[in-house]
Amino acid sequence: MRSLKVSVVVEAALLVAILALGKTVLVPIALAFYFAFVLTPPAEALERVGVPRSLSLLTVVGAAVSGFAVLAALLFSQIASLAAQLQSYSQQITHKIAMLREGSMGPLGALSGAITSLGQLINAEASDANHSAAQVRLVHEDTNALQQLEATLRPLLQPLAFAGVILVLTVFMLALREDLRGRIIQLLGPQNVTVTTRTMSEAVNRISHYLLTQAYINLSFGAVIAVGLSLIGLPYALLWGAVAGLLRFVPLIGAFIAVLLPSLIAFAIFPGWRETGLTVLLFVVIDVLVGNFIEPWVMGKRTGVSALALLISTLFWTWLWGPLGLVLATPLTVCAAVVGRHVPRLKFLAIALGDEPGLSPSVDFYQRVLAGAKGDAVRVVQRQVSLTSLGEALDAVVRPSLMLMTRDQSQQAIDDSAAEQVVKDVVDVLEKLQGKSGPVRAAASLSVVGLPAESPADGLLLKMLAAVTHQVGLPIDVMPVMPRAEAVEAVIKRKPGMVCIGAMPPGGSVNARFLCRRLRAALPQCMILVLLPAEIEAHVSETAARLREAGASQVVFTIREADGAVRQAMSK
Amino acid sequence: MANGCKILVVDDDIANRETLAGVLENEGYAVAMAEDGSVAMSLLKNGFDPDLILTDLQMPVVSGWEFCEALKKSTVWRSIPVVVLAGMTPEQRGKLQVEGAFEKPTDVPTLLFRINELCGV
Repeated sequence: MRSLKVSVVVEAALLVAILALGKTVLVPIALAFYFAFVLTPPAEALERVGVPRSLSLLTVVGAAVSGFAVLAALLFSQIASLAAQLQSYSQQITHKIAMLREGSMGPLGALSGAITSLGQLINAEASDANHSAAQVRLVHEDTNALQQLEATLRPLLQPLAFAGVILVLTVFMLALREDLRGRIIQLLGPQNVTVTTRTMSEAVNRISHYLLTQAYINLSFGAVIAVGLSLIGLPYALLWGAVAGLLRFVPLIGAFIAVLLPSLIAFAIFPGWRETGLTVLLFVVIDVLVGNFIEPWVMGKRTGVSALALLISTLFWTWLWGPLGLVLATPLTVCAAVVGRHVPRLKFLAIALGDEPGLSPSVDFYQRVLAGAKGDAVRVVQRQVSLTSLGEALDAVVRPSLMLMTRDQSQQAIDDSAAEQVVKDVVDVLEKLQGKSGPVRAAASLSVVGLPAESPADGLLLKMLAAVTHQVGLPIDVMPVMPRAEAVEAVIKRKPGMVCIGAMPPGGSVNARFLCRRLRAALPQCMILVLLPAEIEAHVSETAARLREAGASQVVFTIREADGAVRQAMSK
Repeated sequence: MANGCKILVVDDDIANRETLAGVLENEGYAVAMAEDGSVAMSLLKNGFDPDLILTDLQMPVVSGWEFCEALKKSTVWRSIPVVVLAGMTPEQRGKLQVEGAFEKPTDVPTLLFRINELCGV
């Protein structure tokens, strides 16, 4: 076990080292995958209407490149203009801070101090830039035109080459997507091609849909911010919109980082606080609207990735790959989570990154009860009750947890006393739940007795049913666990109109049959209902048939079914 | 006429097994047979769900003692009533937690009465 853990750590370290060392190669590939995922749906849409693949590729990639080029040109001109204005902005900020210093103390004073430092930094950088520019002029005096051209183009060559590699890779990935998919399928699961093909197709579709939708949403977010800022009157609105759209890929905090620069500029150039406040308000309102209403509406309720995992993943990829890692973090995390959901060997990724709870509600409930955390257990059920109803919550959470307990007991993972303690604790939980919901109306026209077949868990099952029927004013008198012959005598004395027998399988069914036979013989008119939770009973239909043969009027498997049967009997 | 009850007869003596099975089937019981505790346990593990078990104590492989102890330890099978076909002291009965013990040769009407009682028939 220890060597296994060591090997996992070594493998993880090796993977991180490969990702860090291979950054130059892996980043363009990852970006190309991202663009291929985003551009696949429009390319496929064109092909579906009969456009040949080459033309669809040309159209989609051409449109994307043109869009990028136009955006880049606009942004470049805005950045250049902003750079030219920085000197004057820094003076305005210094002036405003001086005014603040004169007029205020306390936190505002501290803020002004911080901003002064920033102003000094900007001034220093501007001075350095002027100094460097002077040096460049001196060098240019001794160079010919070709060298000047080379010196001008050199800083542009690397990003252009980088973009070119991404473009070529994207085009190839789009053109050969079926081939690429086939190779991935072959790598991941050649032994079961049909299932792997289906899951991979679904995974690819989900990832494409998610990334495309997120790209559209962030693009729209940036556009709305740009329009809003231009309405406020802030210069370089397009630049701030683009930065906001890009930074929104950073989960949770992206929009808040994006607000910093525009609000600082607003603070610098506008005389009062109104525009600065409006700028901040615009970002907050749009981000809240998009995050809480538009995203859930467009993408469905869940993105499939936990917010915390996304944040940690963002930190990791940014540390590893820098600003490009920041942009790629969300797509990479979504891809990893989706692949983990579909590829059994990588399931750990879905568990670690997915937004589904680590434990199902019933296991969660059982775990809390075992740990003695009754308050937490109550909250697990209450959460489910708020989503559905008491009956459904008990069926979905408590009944399966009782089955887990029975299974643990039969496998001797817990002893009888531990099982009894679990039952006691669940009874307490049930009482707490009941305490919060009084009877709706008193309508008891039928005497109903609850009879546990064998164990306290059978009694608990009946108490759960009683809690549900109590809501409609129908009490069930749940008897304590007692020897079965005595139990039969006790029931016969009460002459009830209905007997509900609770029998947790597999142990309870023998006694339940005995009780049915004896009660049917003694009380021929009595309705006998057997509640037999069924999930772990392998021979459930045979068991139910034998119970009916023994005299049961009806055999049900869930609390809700039992509740329905009791209500029906009451209505008769 | 069948009464819907199933009984598992565990005895290494084939003559005893078949005689008992005949008597019980005449009373309406469905009967399954096993020649020792190991075979009986396999039947139970495969999902056979009897209303009662009739077992001898002296058997090869897995004896009736061991079989009864295993049954009463299990949360799945401990509620199945067990009647032993051998003489036992009250202490032994208490220790094994069996519902009845009948010495051989068995008084069939008394045994049937007890079986009917335990099966609720």
